[in-house]
Amino acid sequence: MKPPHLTTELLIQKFVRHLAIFAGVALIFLMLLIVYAVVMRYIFNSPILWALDCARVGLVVLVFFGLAYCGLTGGHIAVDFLGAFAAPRTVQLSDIIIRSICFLLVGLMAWQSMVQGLDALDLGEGTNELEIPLFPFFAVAALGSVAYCAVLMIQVKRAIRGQVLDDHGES
Amino acid sequence: MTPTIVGILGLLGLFVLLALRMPVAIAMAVVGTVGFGILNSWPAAMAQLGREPFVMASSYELIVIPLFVLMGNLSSISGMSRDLYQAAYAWFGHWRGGLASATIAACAGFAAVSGSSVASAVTMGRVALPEMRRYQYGPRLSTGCIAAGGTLGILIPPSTGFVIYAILTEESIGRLFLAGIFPGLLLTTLFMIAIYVQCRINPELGPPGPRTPITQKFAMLGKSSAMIGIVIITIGGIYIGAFSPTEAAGVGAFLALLLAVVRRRVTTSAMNDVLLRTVRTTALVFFIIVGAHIFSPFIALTNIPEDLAALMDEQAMPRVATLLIILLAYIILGTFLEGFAMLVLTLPIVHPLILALGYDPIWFGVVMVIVLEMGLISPPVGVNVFVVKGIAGDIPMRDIFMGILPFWLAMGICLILLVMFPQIALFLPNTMIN
Repeated sequence: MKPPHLTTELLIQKFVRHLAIFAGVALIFLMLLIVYAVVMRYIFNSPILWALDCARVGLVVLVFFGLAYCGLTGGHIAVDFLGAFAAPRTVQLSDIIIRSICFLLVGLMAWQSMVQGLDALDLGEGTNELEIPLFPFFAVAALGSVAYCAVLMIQVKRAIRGQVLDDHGES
Repeated sequence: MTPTIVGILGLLGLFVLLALRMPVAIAMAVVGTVGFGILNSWPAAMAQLGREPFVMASSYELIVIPLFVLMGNLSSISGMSRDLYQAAYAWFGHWRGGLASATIAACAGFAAVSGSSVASAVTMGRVALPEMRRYQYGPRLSTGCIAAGGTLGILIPPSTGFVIYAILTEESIGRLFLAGIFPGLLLTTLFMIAIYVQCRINPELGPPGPRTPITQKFAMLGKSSAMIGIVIITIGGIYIGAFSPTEAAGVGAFLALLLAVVRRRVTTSAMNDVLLRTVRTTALVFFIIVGAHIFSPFIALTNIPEDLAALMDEQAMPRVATLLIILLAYIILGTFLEGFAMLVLTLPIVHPLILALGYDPIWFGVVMVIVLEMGLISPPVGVNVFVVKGIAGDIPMRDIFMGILPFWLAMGICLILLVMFPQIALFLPNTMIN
């Protein structure tokens, strides 16, 4: 049987991958929606204005549900000065502090997304054409940020255990 | 404390956080939030932290990013890269260093469906490197041309570099895409000349291959026609005003998917891989944009861009000298900063300066992307070099960096030509319809 902290890590990883799959579905939805809107405008001379609304909220799902996956797979760009010059112990200590600050910031972002979402609920904010309520999508933003917080928590724990963290990104 | 002092302390703090390996997006958001809190108000800083990510992630114009990334990733699995390479080889293979020139041409072609330099280098490297090894090409030339050719991915549209520049400076994505076409073709030609000159000096570097009959040349080109069609529809659609960049990206991704389906390249695992890679890149790019949008208002409050512009004014330097200093600073920064990071970290300060100097921001976007490309292959952190090293494991890094040098110089020549003749970049956007 795996130790409890590894079971938690596996559960978080599984959850983050599921969110990423949702994000992938949102991506396919966006592609088909844009093509449908183009076809309707050019072939059937019938522009669909609501496509813009659906695309906007689809993008929210794609971005925020992919955020934690990007963090989990080391995708967020970082500059590795310290790793090249400092002793492993210094790098480890720095990683623990830096990832904890990241955890706080992303946590704050999640909390503020929820605050903004509640404001949107109170004010009845919605999209322009279909008036799709924005509140659930602020909740999506908060959930995606919380998932990224969980990934950062894993990274802090890994840094405490002495594992090397790696963010490289791409251009 | 004056806003400028707070700004300078903020910039110092940012560099410390970056040096301590904090992800660039989060470092910008941390400094931006704290700085905005100090110079404006904490409730406003908190509201910005909650609102800005949502605003960016619900922007219709930004859907162009995931869709073009998807188009590039689908093109990778559809086998287009091999067709492109074979077509390029049929046309250029009999030249001195023909396989290397074919690699550059194929990279340029692939760049027209992919906005990522890393994706271009990986895709073309896997196809071209074994071929160049088979024909006993010099390891420096073969790895150098793949690393350099890959950088065309962010110059020839679609390009994630241009999209990020456009978002941060509120310029038109379509105009920037079109501005990248001629400089991209110019750089492709300069890369080929660099190969030819190297092989002329040392013929053993890249022996010429057999000549391909003209009928076969066209047959090979025909095999790439689907890809060429996708490029014409997407980029041509933007040029004639038929599509917005977002629509062009959606249609392009859909056509690339159709092509992959027709070629029976779509398996569950391949599709899963394509979607997850696209999701990952999308999150990476958006988070960087969010970080930059939290950081920019803070920099605007510090007056640093205005102070810098005033300082330049006091020095009474010719504007081209100021530009050259900026470019030199970028080239040096590019040796140790990742390209996107360099773009988002510096644009809030440099863009107002460029406008104050009276330069065209679209033209400067192209110049910036070329400097960014130089960084992608500069030691010690040239990302494309590590990508090539990953494919050609046994070739020492030193050889790869040596092989890159002629291409890096070609980029320098391209930069000089663009500074002397801005019309190379501006001609197409200025003739764009709508």
